[in-house]
Amino acid sequence: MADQFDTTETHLLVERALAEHESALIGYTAGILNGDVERARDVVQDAFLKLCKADPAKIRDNVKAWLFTICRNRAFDVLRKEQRIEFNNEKALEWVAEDQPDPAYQSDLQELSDQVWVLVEALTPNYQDVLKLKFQHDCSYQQIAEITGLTVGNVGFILHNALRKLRTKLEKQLAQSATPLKNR
Amino acid sequence: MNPYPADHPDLTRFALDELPTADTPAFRSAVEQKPTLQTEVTAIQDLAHQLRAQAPLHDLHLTSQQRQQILQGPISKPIAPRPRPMTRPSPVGRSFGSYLISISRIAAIVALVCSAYWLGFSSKSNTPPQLITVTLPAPADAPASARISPVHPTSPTPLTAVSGPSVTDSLAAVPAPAATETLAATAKPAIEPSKPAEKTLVTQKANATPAKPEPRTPATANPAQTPSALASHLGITEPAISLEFLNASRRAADSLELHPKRIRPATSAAANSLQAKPLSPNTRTETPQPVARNRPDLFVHAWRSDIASCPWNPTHRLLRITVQLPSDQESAQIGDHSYPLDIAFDPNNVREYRRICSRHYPSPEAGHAGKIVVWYEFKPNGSAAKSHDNGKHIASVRLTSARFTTQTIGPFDASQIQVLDRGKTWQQAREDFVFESAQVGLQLLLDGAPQNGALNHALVLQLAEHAAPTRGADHGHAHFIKTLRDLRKLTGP
Repeated sequence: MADQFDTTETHLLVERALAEHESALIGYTAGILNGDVERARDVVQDAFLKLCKADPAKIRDNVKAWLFTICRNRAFDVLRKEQRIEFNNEKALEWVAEDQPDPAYQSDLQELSDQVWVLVEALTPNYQDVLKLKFQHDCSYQQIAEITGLTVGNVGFILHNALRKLRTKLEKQLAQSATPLKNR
Repeated sequence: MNPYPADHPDLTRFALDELPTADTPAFRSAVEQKPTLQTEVTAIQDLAHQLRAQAPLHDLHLTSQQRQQILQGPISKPIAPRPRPMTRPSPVGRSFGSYLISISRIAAIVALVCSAYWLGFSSKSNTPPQLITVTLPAPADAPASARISPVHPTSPTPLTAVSGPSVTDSLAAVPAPAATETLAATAKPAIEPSKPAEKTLVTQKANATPAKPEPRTPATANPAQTPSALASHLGITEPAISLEFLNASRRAADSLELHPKRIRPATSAAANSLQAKPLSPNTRTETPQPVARNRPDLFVHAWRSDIASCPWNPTHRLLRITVQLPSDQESAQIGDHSYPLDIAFDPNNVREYRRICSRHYPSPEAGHAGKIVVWYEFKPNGSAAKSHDNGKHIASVRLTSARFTTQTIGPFDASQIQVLDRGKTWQQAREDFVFESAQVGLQLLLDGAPQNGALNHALVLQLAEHAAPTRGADHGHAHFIKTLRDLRKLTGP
């Protein structure tokens, strides 16, 4: 319980974490919850309430990864309860590295060099997750590994493949946009 | 043969600066040898830069209710004791044993009260009047007449009545510096009837320099005196929570809280005089406290930044941010408010940084200014020794909720300062910068901070002595150097 620990330190920790990660956490959680910001707020609030009760000595060096992990797990719990994920196929959670781009995105791609994140959205969820954690939330490999439950090596592999696929997509789209319409 | 193909996950890791430090040199040399790897690394870095630059920004916040619940709910809510069930057994069901226990409890309470009353009565009638003595340490060179030995309550020494005029005489008669004060007060008033009975004061105070610290035994004289014990005497800095370097491209902003309450003048000036006044029975001891309202604005006299080379690491630079603010403002006087000081480093010019310490300097006396100082050590992109005539932008410092005591006029944003590095070395820096950097260095040594380069006690001493010629008269400076020498004797160079 929080009262067993140094409440002053816990309070400072929570205040600082709120100031630094509140917005990013809501954005990240809303991404998992299909853009449901209200529910994301509830999840983030739960995570911070857990932080209040946690032992600051154990998490003070790793608050960011700790909060992202809690939010991520809690968001998946919410999705599970609402059966938005098919759990018959556990591979959906494991996010096998297979890229199946949505054709709907093809029509939306304009000025691709400026819309790299549109292409990210077309990648598989595991690629998206790791790319967002790395480049949107500035997490290190170690932190991503802690948040996703993967090994650092796995994170490196996924990130490497994700960036390669992204580059391939970018080059392809740039080549297409450079081709005159009449030749298409 | 090059062991790293272009499609190796470690290539991405290297390009993103995530490769373990031990593997980096080998990888770097491999990349430098092969142009295809260089091209690959550049492409990955370009894409990473594009992703970072175009990452969607979130400006989402919790509702005020949720925020309040987090900040106040589970932390400050005291745990209420669990109510005990009011199940009192009926007298019929009580056993003889429970009656016996109740009676013995009552008897014990009565005996305790009676004995306390008797003790109090007998001590009042038999005990001779007691002397209450308060003695502060006197310097060794104080005259013998100025030293007053403590009088123990049980001592049979006859009670000396001290009258007002004689106090004045003794004050005039003792011009030598003396920090000894003796207050003689009797449990039974034995003051001459002609003198005012409500105040008895003996104060021997002739030292006009209150900041003079008491002499300390050299560190070598006492083997039990450790560096940490000495450091506790110093109280030189408030170290940062973490002394690890942070990557400026990953986390460019740092923030700390300023507490104006801590710059209120220290009460040590009043410590050399001691006054006592018999308390009348009807005196109210509690004084009305000013009512704290919402956080007042923070008034700032001035702020500045200094950058010079890092004495213990030639590839690093030291940044000092100083905020000078009046100590008699509302935010310092009432409550303990905090104000965020945000420092945003420029990732184009700063590779990594760490906050090494911060310190609140109380104002010397009421009405004067105090200051708050924050120290950073950072590693610049490019050469640390190169001089930049136009100044290289290092960081932006922002102090929200702050107002300047002097109105600033001009088409610039007064709410922030831009920190520019002109490539100055520490030898060219102001002496107060060098002196404080010595204090900071000592703090890092005592904390056992990592990545301290060539930092050792000899270097700290050198820095402190470098600032000595112009600060020679400063007693605090001399004391610091003496302590450093003691520490050096204890710990070696």
